[in-house]
Amino acid sequence: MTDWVWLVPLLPLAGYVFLLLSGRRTPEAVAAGVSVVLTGISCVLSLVVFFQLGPEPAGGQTWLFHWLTIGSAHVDVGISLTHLNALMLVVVSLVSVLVLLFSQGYMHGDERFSVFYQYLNLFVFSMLGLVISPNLLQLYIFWEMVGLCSYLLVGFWYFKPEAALAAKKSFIVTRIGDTGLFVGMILLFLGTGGSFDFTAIFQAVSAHTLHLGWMGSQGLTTLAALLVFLGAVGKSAQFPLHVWLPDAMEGPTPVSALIHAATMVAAGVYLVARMFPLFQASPPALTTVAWIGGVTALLAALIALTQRDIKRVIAYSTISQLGYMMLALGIGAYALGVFHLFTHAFFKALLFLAAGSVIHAVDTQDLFQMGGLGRKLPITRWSFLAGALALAGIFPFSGFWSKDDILTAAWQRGDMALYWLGLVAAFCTAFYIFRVYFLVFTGQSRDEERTVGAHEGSWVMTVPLVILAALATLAGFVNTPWTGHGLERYLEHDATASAAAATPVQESLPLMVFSVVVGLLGIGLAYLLYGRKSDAPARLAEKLSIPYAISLHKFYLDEVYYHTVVVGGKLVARLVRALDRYLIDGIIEVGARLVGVLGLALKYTQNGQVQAYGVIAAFGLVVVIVVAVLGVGGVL
Amino acid sequence: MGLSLWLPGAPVIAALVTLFLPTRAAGLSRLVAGFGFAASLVLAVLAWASYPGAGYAHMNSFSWFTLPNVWLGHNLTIGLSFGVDGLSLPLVTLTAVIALLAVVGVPTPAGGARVYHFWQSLLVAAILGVLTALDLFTFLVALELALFAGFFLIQQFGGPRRRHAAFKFLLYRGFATIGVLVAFVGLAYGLAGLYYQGATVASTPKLPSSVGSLTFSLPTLQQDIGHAAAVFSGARPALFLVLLLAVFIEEAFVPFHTWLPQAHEQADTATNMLMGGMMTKIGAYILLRFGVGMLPDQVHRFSLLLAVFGVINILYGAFAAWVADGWRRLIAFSSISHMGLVLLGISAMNAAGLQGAMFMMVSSGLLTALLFFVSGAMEARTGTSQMGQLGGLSKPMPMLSGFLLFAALGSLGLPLTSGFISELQAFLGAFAGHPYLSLVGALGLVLSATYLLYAIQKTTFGPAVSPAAALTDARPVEYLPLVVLTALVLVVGVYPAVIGGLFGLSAHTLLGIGG
Repeated sequence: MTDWVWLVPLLPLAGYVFLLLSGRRTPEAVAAGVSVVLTGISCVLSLVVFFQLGPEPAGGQTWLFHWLTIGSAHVDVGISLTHLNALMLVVVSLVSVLVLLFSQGYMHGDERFSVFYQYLNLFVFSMLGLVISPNLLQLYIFWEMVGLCSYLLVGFWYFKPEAALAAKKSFIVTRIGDTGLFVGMILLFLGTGGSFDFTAIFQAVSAHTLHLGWMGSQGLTTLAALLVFLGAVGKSAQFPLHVWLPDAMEGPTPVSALIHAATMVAAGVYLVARMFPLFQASPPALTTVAWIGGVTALLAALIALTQRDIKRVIAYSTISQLGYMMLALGIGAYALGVFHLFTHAFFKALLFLAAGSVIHAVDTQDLFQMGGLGRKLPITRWSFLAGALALAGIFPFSGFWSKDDILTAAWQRGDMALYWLGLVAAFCTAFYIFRVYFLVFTGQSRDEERTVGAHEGSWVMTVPLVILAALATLAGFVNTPWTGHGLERYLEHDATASAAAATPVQESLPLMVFSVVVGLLGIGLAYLLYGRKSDAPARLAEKLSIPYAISLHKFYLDEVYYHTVVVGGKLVARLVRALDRYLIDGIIEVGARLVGVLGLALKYTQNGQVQAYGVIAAFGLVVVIVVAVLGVGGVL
Repeated sequence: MGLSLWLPGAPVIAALVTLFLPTRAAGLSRLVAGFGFAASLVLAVLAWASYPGAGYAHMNSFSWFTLPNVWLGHNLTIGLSFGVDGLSLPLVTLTAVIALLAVVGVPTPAGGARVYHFWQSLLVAAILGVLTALDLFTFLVALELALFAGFFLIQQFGGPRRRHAAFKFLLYRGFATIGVLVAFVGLAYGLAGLYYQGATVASTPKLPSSVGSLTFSLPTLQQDIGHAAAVFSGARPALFLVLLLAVFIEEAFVPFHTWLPQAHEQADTATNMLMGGMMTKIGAYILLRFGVGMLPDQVHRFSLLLAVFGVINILYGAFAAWVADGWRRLIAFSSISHMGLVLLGISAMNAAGLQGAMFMMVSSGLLTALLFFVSGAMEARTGTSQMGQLGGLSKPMPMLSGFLLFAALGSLGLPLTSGFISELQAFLGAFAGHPYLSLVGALGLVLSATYLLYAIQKTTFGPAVSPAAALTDARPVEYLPLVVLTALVLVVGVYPAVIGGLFGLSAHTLLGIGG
């Protein structure tokens, strides 16, 4: 019944090709219309696939085509449909179609409007291709393709130096992680005796046959899992490779919503989920995933407390939320990590699009130039509020269900340190997102000039906001105790997830109430500081000057990296240049001066006559023959 | 009679024709050269299409004269012979493609069109000759011709420091030629010695070929030397090391590399495309054909040495490219870095590694040619290739900037380009052979992204530096090289089996498994 699933990624590809061929002057309505319709069909098809997919054999349905023979190993490409993949298809295509619609309003009038849609279509295709890859190699290919699209779209306004820098930085930082994934993929290929297939890898892992000449099964499993995770750390902007994502906010805001919040950055989480049997086979790797996730969740939340740029606050929030997902996977709560990915995609896309709507209206990203916009942008305000409540984890918004389940799971598994990391981060989350809400939408304008003419965008911008607001509010109900943990049971059909779901989380009312209270406290504090006109924030910043500076300067990580990795790398490069110029080439140059006679002799032969050169060449050949026959032969 | 002779033969004829053209008809000599390359390309495609699938094909042989009683009673026949196999076919085709695109897309530099196209045709003929030679003598003649043709192209049509660069080119590569020569003569005489021994000492194992005479024939040598590992052991390491030294110089491997960046900085765009695209792949070809093909035991023996030098070149090239001031130097070091990976792949001596090395030769050829073409086209408009003086070129030249970005992305190994599949296979082989060194080499993935995107950011992103109004985007004729090279990079990247079949077969043949 789902044989036509290949259409899902192919339709956006058709959109890409269409816009590539139709050129830069394609009318805006055509570029946007074609893209929305094609991806819309993809979205409908994804939903059909999602609901039609019944219990499947291990590894899901696959369709394969031969691609290349490497040595004696056959490498295939194709499609693999598991329940996790079907869920991802829905998330990606649904958010994509809304963002494509929103962009028509947001990007209206841009000189390269159709190029923007062209890149977006390529992204949607690559992202959809990524989540239905049957093997690690194909996943890696699309993994890099979405990275390319991110690069192109972050640098879309290429003439802005900050955008150019951010695009480069995002590519290079994620490339560090990708190199880990690349090496991990190669080790898994060699360890399985020549296969990139997920099923073959999982079989080798479970049968303990994964090995190389220089490393046994357990060691290789852990090493490969950690290398694969390095890729996920880069893509999902986890500590210590998270530094690219806030800078990537230089791209147009719809891009931030789609790529840098809902889909591409979640690919790292998806990768760990997709390769979960590999991680499960290695407790050290799982522990690493959990701790990286937990630390990232808190670190990013602390940074988000003080940022002035609305998009950067939400970007750090994304990093933090992805940390929760990693934490969930790391403690073995596979389905909960995926559940949070699902809800987060909607409420974070919503927050970004709402922020985009605000930026579109006031043309600034500085929170302290906004204020009182709630009356002028009512739809944006209420939808942002829904997203903020979901992010803050307030009952019954979607984020409450997924985040609370993760914290409960950590508690019930006895990972108390991780629980408290998550809980403190949750408090910060509620605070920083309502700080944004109060600064933007309530009180008085801080910059009348900018805010006076603010108004809502056209329906293409407000309709996606309303739909996403509904999803952000309601999406959590797919997996509640009242709805029979529907999502968890759906995912259990996959062989990869069934083992993980062996010990399901038991919702506990006290824990739920506790985390909602923590969230409300965060909101309350934000109200006290920013909900009314007061100089409390400034006084607080002064009183806590050192923690404030650390948060404001993002724990100085960019500076640390610059002065170690970048400066160190450049130092090596300069050393190489000096070595090249003065030692290697220097010796040759001096040597050549010493035997300059040859050069001098040849110099006099340059009389510009082709025939003369021909004679020289012929002479060279004669020398060859003579030397060959008489001279050198005798040596042996 | 096969058609291999005419692969290098067509451009030779074109070169000879240019000599008889009137001096003032500048366009005519370009046309003649173009026809010569087009003929080679057509023949290469024909040869590929009708390739039987294994071994040497489309062979021609001519004997010229015989030297009687040269050594231990052997006679030596000197002549020319040509042929193609799975390893050389894609490389031959690639050479013809790049040559044709270079002559069509790049304007003839000032200083005499006739002379320029004469040497250009000879350079292409020489590279094709090297790739099709089935005889040591033929090989050396072609190598020698490439040396001189390259020398004169740089020396007469290069930039301000062309003379210095040309002599460096000549001396380095001339030395490499001598190395190849010594190794070849050693191989031939060594085998003749074996035949002699076989005739006089009864216990000597029988060799598969029945030639039994001093010979320069490549197929015979390959067959017999490969089987003679046990008996011909003493001289083999020495021969291999001499050959390796020549390969290192030809490939511009550190520390024998300084001729290459300087040559690229001085040469004109078309010569850079040929030199970077194909000429710097000859060393790897020699290593595969004569090292892996004839002295596989020695490649195994010095595997660690090759791997170490491979990694050194990957990283050295990348670091040097990072601080390069201009595109020409950057591309030269980027090519050195690529070829370091080729060396690492070969060092593993497994099918994936060899296949990856062959892919990388094609990929690096395509991408280096494309990079030189685009950066050359930009240089022709802006008057500089120095990154510090460029900026914001996306605005006045969106198409050229786009192709430059594409070439850079291919070069840094983005999937669905030829660069990725080459890197993947080379590393697959390398990790099986030298895991720890390969891990160090994998740093090159990060470094290549760093230096290429840094250069792209400086050149095409940001606010425009120079007055944009005077700058024009790609002209119609320039789209031919841009589109064709881009398409080939994509074809190999998206459907690598187009060359994977031939290269896989060649890898198995060289390793003596299957085929």
